[in-house]
Parts: sequence; structure tokens; C-alpha cells
Amino acid sequence: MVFQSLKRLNHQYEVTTGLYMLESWEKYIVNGIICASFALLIYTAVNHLPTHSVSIVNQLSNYAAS
Amino acid sequence: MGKGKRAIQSYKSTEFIEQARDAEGLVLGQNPFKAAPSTSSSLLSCETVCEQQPIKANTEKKGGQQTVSETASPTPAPSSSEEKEKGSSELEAVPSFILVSTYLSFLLLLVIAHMRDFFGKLFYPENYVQLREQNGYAPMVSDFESLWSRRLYGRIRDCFNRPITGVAGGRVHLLDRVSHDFNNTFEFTGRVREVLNLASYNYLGFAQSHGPCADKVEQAIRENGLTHGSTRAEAGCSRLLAETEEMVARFVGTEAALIVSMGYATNALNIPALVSKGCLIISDELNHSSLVSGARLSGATIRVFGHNNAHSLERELRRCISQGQPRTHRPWKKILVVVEGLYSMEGETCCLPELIDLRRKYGFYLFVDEAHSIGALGKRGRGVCDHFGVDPREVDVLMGTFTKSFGAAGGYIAGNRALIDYMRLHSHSAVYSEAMSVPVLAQVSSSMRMIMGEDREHALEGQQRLDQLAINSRYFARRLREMGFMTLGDPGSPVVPLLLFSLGKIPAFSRECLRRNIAVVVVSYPATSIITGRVRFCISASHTREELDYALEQVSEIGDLLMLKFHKNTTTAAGENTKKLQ
Repeated sequence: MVFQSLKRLNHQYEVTTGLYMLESWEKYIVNGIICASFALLIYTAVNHLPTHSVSIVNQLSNYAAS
Repeated sequence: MGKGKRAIQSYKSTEFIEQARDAEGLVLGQNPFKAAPSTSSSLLSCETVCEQQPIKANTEKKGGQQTVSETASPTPAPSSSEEKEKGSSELEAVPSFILVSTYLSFLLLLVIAHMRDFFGKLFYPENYVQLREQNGYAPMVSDFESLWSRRLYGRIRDCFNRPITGVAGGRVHLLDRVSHDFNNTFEFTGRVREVLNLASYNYLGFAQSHGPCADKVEQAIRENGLTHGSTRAEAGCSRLLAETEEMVARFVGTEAALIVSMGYATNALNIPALVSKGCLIISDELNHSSLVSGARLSGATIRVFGHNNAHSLERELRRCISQGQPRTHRPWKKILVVVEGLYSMEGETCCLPELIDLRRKYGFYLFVDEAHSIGALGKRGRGVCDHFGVDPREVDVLMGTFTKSFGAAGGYIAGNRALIDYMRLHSHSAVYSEAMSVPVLAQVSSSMRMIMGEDREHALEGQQRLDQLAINSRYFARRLREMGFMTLGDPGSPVVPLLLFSLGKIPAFSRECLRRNIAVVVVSYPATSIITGRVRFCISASHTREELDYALEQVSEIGDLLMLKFHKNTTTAAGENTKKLQ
């Protein structure tokens, strides 16, 4: 059941982005690039977002106070 | 006319006009410039609506270049009837996610196409021999221009040009084929599959191998042989041909008609007989390529107006009439406005009443290509003039084909007797190409007789077919719209295009339909603009209600699978139901 709906979602994703027309090795390459960029995004977010957001809040409070 | 005569004529037209002058050299009497009327003429006074619209940035297309416009026409003409859903307003109602995803998918596919070309030429140069210059010879195929057909169309080539066998009626037999190397080569599996045929132009269901028309064709072959063996002008004018031409003229409502054996050639070879260099052709931007061919072949100046937009036509007319011929600014010899009765990619009819009004005002010649509308529109099936209730004598040249509604091939040109007599002598199709072959002519004759109701044994069948087509097409379009699909076209048009937009959905739709035993035609660039890929259903009178219901069920399932149902239903079903046969 879950498999069926996953397959359907995958089909919809392929058809909307145009990956449906590519050969399978091209699909792997494109999906690989998309996954790699997502992974990079998530890594950067997890590593730097807490400290970055704390420093932004500090700067804003400094501007507000002075 | 030789060169000498032309020179004399041109001299005369630029002859100095002698004015009476007084002693100081000033013009006596009325100065021609001061004598111009200061009040607006009758022409200008009617066009208050047009004058209020400022002429926007130059939208003139270069003469001879018909580009397929990407964006919809600027403003829908306010005088168009409300029941006609214009393509432009439909496109504005598309959710932006669909448009954005279409553009992005195109970007992705193009990037991949270019990468594949780059790496392919690097690692497998022997596969790209036709694109490179070698031994001092220029490349055979242009690299950039063949990118579409190699890399994008080639990937989905199995959805187009599917081989069929047998009669292409309401059902057709498809030869199954399979490809092992991504559509480079195909091989036939040997299976023949019967599918529901929503792809063939078979509006009145005359594509039959049995029946009264086929019997008459057989009889005509036994009497007249298979071919006329000559051009119509020399020895090919038989009684059958003359009678059929007269019948066509009577059917369409004009004085005379000329039959040409090929539909494309009817336009391509007869427009050059009507206009020549020094004339002006103003044609709709979405005209068929046969009209474009004919216009370019004639050597006349070509201008394009926005699709079905009478105001755009008027602006173009006024601009061209005021400017005159391109370099010399002489008045045009003739102005021919070329439109189609029913545009098959949009399912829309032309705005004929407005065109007739403009014709009365400006005095141009009107050419209506009724390839899809003859036999399919109108209460008696007489085409777009019957549909709008316009006298066919108001249109100067009525052209049509026998392919769609009559189950034959070829085309005709109809008009008043002087025009057709002139065309019989001056048109290349009448003088140089062979007369229509006997079986096709007999099919035309018998099907037309049946539609007109003149066939004594099948007196009611013609009208039955017309009614059935009207019912089928209205039912199909209404149900599709109710389901939430975005369809184009006027109610009553036998062609129902359904918008698919994204390039990924086009082959997906076609293959899903084939899996469910339905044959459809999907269209993408370059036949339509680049974001509006569509599937075009051709409804026929030979489709039964069960077949249409089956097709609608399957299309609904596929629409759910591919997320195609994004049309918001604003009109109620009751409103559509009241528009019965007209």
C-alpha cells in the first residue's frame, strides 16, 4: 500500500519536473545532484544556524538598546 | 507584361501633376493640402473604440516570418460573445506552480541535452558525423537547430507517428512496437491491437470500408477506371468531376467551385494565383502551415494579426493601408485577409461576423479556410457560414478540404463564377496537377450527397450524422470541463484540446492512454507554443456514447495520476445543457 503511494508520488514528481523523459542513468545523476545539494543545505543549516541566529539576535538587541 | 510596359506604368504613377500657378509661382485655386477635409471621414468616425486604445509597442512581425507567439494575445476583443472562452483568459487562470514547473522542467531538459551533446562529441565523435564539417564539406545538419528533434522530440518519439493498419474509423488497429535503445530504432512485436480512435479526423464517420459510400465508390471505379490520367485543363475533366464541382458549389452556397486533389496544395498553390507581388496578405498568427506556404510562395507582403482579435486586425489594416507598399508607399493592389474557419489546435472558430463588418468597411478580400469546419459546424453542416448565419456570398473565397468530414482527400476552392473561371486557367493546381482520382471523387460525391439529404435510399442518415457529431462533441467537452480539466475551444467544436502544459506530462498521457487502449494525438512545440503542450481529441459521429464514457473514465483516472485537473468550475452544468443543437 505504502509502496503504491510512494510509486505514485515518484511518478508525479518525475512528470512535473520533466525527469520522466530521461534515461535511467540520467535520472540517477540528476537526483544525485539534487540530493547532494539538499544534503549540503541541511549540513550548513544544522552546523551554523543556531550560532548564527544567536549572533543575529545579539546584534538586533544591541541596535535596539543603543 | 514585359519590362517595357512595367516601366511606362511606373512612370505614369509618379508623373508630375500639373498645377495652375500664378505669376509668382504660387499654386492657383485650391491648395491640395489645404483642401483636405478637416472633419473626420466616415471611416474614422466609426472607429471610436479603436482610437481609444493606444497603439502599443511595435508588434509588427517582419514580412515573411511567422513566429509562434509565446504569450497570449494582449486583450480579448470586447465584442466577442461571452460564451466563447478565449484561450488568453484560460491561460491566465492557470496556477502559477504549473507554469513555473513547466519552465523549470524545460530548463532542466535543455541543460541535459546540451551536456549530452558536449560529452557525446567528446567521447563518441563518430556518432555526430553529420553535425561536424569534415574534409572541407559543411555539416549536413545544423547542430543547434536539430537539438530539439534529436534530444527532446527523439526521447518521446514513440508517442508520435504510430503505424496503423486497416480502416481508421471509430476504432483503429495499431501495430505494436517496442524500442530497446531509447527510441532510436523500433521493432514490431507482431501484435495488432484494436484501440479507440480519438486521433483521426473522422468527424462524420465516413471513414468506412462498407456502406453506401463504399458501394458507390466501387461502382464508379467500374465505370470510370481509377484515374483521369491527365490534368483537369487538358484531358482530365470528366462528367463526375464537373458534377462534383457543381455539387460542392451548391453545398457551400456559392456559384462555382474548383476541386484540387491535395488539401495542402489547395492553399499552397491557389493563394499565389489570387495575389502576387504588390499585394498584402494579413493572416492570423495561428494559421496552418499550408496557408503560410501559399502566402510566402505568392511573393506578396505578409502581415500578421493577433489570433481571433478583430481589433488587432483593424489596427494592422489601418497601419498598412496608410503606409502603402513597403518602399514606394504606393497603394496596395489587393488586400487579402486569411483566416481559418476552425482552428484545430485551439478548437476555436474565427470571429466571422466581425470580419464581415470589417470587410464591408475597408473593402478587403476575405479568404476562409474551412478545412475543419466544413461538414462539422452549422445546423446543416455547411461550415462556419452556416454556424454564424452569414451569407456565404459575403466571403470572397471559401476553401475547404474533404479529408476531415467527408472521408476522402483533397480540397476545393469556392467563390463566384468569375473568380473560379479565372482560377481554372491561372492556378497551378488546376493546370499542372492531376485531376482528383476517381475513387476519392466518388467518395466525395456520395458523402456530400448523403449529407445534403439528396440520397434517396439514405435520406436521413446525413442529418443523423451531423446531429450525432454535435451531441458527441458537446457532451465530451462538457464532461471534461466538469471534471476539472482545462480545455480550450468553443462549444460545438468537434476538436477538443486539453492543456497539458508540462513536457513530462505529454508522453506520460499518451502512453497511459495507449495502455488503456485509447489512441490520442499529443502536440507540443513547435506546433503549439512552448508552454502549452496539449492533447487533442477529435470526436466523431461514429463514436457511441459507451465509447465516449469509457474514454472519459480513463482520461479522468489519468488526470488524477498526472495532476491535470486544475480548472475551477465557474459555469454550472445547467447553463451548458441549455445550449442544445443549434
